[in-house]
Amino acid sequence: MNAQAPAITPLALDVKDLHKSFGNVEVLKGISLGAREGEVVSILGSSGSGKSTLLRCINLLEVPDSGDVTVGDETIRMQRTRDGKSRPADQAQVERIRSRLGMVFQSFNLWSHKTILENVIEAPIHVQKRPRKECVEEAEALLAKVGIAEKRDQYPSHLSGGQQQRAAIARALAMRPKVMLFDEPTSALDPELVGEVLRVMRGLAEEGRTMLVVTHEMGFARDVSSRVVFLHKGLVEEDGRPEHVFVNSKSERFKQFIKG
Amino acid sequence: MKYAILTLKALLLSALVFSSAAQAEGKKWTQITIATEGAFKPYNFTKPDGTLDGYEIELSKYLCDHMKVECKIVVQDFDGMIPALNAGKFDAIMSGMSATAKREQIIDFSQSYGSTGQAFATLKSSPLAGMEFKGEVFSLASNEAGAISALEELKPLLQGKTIGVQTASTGATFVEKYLKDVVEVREYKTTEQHDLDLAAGRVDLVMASMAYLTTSAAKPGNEEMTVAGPRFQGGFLGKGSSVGLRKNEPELKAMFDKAIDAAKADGTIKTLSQKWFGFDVTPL
Amino acid sequence: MDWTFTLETFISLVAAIPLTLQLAATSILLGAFLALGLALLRLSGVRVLDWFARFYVFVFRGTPLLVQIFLIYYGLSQFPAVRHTILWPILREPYWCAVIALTLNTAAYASEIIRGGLLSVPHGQIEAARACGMPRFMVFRRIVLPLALRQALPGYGNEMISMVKATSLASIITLMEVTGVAAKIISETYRAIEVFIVAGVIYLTINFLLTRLVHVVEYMLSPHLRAPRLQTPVQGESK
Repeated sequence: MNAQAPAITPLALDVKDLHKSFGNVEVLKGISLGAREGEVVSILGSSGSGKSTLLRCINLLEVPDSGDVTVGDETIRMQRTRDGKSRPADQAQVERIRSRLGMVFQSFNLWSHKTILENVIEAPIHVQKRPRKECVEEAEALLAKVGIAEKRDQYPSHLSGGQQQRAAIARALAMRPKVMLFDEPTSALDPELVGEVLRVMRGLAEEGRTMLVVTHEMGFARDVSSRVVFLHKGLVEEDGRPEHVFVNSKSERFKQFIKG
Repeated sequence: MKYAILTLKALLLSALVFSSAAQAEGKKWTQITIATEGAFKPYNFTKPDGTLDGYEIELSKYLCDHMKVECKIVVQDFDGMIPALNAGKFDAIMSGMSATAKREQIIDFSQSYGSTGQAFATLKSSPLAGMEFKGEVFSLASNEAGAISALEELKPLLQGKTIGVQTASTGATFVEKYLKDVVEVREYKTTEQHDLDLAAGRVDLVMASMAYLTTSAAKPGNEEMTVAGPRFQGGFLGKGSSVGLRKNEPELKAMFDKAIDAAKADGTIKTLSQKWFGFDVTPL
Repeated sequence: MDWTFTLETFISLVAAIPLTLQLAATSILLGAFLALGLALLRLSGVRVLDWFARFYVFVFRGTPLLVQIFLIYYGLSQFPAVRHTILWPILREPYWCAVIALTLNTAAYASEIIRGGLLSVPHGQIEAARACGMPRFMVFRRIVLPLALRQALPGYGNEMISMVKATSLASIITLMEVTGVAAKIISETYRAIEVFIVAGVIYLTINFLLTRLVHVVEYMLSPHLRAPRLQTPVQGESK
């Protein structure tokens, strides 16, 4: 049951020729990747392929050395510092764009001193300056949607990993993002808790949300995503519809990878 | 043998009589040994050549001449002086020793031969420097009413000023008793500290012993400091320096009292104190 | 023990408690802001600022508070130039000199405590805040600082207790706080034992209450570190 990517929707996210090095190691060697509205893109790759770095460069948690990131119709403006490094020209723009990208981390990263509800309403109230009442109502709806409505007044440390990750998804959704970014959302979970998180993500895909998912879950990539991108050593090795690439990829490396 | 024992008894008895209080009636003193510390300038001090000098040394010569006795001055640590006096090591103490109630329980004192008393000091630039009653001395023992009326006259000037005193000093007691309602009192651990704050302008005046203040004002760096207004002595401020004597030697006490009376009367104390202290320490 | 005298001493010393508390509270409060600033300099990543903060901490932790109080009170007033500055009305007062010395001193210790707290904030939680689009200062105010303070609170409680005790040194610059009054009574009566016992009991009581207060604040700020509340269903009034 693959979500059908509509033929012509505008690009929600466009990445062009992204380069990033850590010291002497070039992790991204010129990656271009677009995601149309409603597309669910699974990004696969062995460890060290640069898939997490790609995601983190998109919302500038890592600053790319070169290349363009466009969210909607806004391209992040970069400038060169005197020592040749690259950095965002306008921090306010970065913050604006980040608020349009919902990020879900491998290790949840819920704010431990705030209740689940407080975690969800924090950014809508303080970043987006929306009325508290509206934010609380929306947060309660989101918590119900991810199935942890009764945990609203508990603290993250009182929740299981799966519940925490679902809360983190609700937190990201509360910003009404254009694109959701998932950075290995199930990798830190005990196997029996993976399912509940994937179910929530599948639900979001079915709603038509634009999602970029870095994952190891082959099932999810095959059944839920509308596109699969395979990275190898900082380059896009394979890019196509799952029903296509999983059956007849020309890449030996990808075939090797999916065989596990 | 019997005779010998009797002689021994008599010797022991006379030794006891001599060293303890019970002097035979009408004993004629021809020789007196006086103890002094030899390190308490300007009262008494040892000169570089080893001889003694100072206010008490000069005064003792006058007193001895007047009493027509031969005097010998010995140097003794201040701490052990009172026990040594009672043990008969010497007959009198002249060592800047104040006649306090506590000491009077153990030894006798002559009348005072020098009372520096308590005084105020301020900065030369201060309006308080020109305080009334400059140099006048009031005795709280004989003329407390005079002292109080003088202070009443000064109160408008002192109103709202800050005064520095050493904690638990007689100056502190004085200020507490007579000036509490007009001045703000600040208490210091040492007198040097209130001098620093006087120089810094944190306090408007200080109260301390006149002897201390004159010495302090003479120190380099303290040129701005000056003694101002009246001086107070007697009463709870203490009787001043007196000759310490064993109890029950009334003849000796009478001799010293008489001699000191003479020294006061003929201006010797005034002259000597001007020479050594720079001001008059004659007790009132 | 002479109970009448002890009671009189107690009454005199109790009257001095407000000054002791005022000195401690003012310097702890001002010191906290300074300490936060110093901790931020340490973590700024700017070498000059980092070294300035290190030097500050080195100097104020490495010299006795007594010496610092003396230098600020008697030392600064030695310079006529200081007496002619706009600061003199403040430096003239023993109270403010004591507050300044105590503040500067506690800031050195507290900055290290706060720095430890800041370093303990999990990086992932900061990243999550940035990913939400929070500006730098908002991340600091809403996420980093609350987490750091919770972490620093137990250590800070100890520092506050030290400060209450340190106020006793203010007596050497004429302030009549509890120790100042105690010293005065002793020099007037020569009865050290009763007076020091009463003074000790007063400090002990203040610090006992302070410790309890810190515990309560710690408890209130750390619901996330406790076992979850049991979700008991609301019982109806009727049977």
